[in-house]
Amino acid sequence: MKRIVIADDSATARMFIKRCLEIIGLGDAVIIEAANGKEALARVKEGPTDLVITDLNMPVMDGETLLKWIRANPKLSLIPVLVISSAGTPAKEAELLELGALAILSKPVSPPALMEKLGPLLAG
Amino acid sequence: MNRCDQAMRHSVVDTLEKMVFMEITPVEVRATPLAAADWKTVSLLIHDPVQGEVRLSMPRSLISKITETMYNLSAEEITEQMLDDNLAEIINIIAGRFMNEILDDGQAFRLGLPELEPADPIDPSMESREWTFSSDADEFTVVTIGNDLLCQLPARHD
Repeated sequence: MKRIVIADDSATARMFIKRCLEIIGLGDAVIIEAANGKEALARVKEGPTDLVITDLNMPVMDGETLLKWIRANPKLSLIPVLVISSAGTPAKEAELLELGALAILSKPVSPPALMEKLGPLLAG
Repeated sequence: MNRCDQAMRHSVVDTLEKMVFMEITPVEVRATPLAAADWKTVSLLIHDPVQGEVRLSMPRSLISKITETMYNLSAEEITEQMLDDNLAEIINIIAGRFMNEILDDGQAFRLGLPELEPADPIDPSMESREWTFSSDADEFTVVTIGNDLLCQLPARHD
């Protein structure tokens, strides 16, 4: 059973991402929600995590900082991090990929787009 | 139509048409009074590389309609929190697209966090520009505040 941490300050967005995950066949995954990057990092440290899905623009700790903290921690650095952005530029996306993001997904999220980005991960 | 007019029209129409397949039409003169009791307003600051603010005001009924369509929910399932979250989401996407259009190709920018029902009214000493759009019978407005978001440059033809 996969353990997935979703970080987004919008409870509605988290609910929708959960729904998308169910639609693409991850309905039995353990989904852990966090309202910001700091909270997500704490949840990630609590147990083996298969995937982090994070919004970019959040209070307290944003998605980019969360990604950097995960990559900087040897125990967490291999966890795939999917970044969801509502206001990205190609330069920002390239920077996030350079930092080690699995992929960047533009809002609004849709099940097919999520499936496309997570396909290789789900297959593995 | 200057570059900001063009950018805002693209940003609003594309965002809502792609999100919820709604037909959105720019309106020259707003018929609905702004900030009516059943309207919600959200504000977003733009920090870099220019400074300004974007405000989006929408009737509650329209936000509800968008939320129902977007999340495939019935009207009874919609909560006040969902409306607020969704309005914040919409302004984020619109502002992001707008900045992408008005800045030179690929230039990075930094947005603040959406603030619902901003306490401060629009500062009359600041330059601002209002755009009105309609979706069926509902009108809604976007206001940009700050000289940098008014674009005195002519529209791009690309």
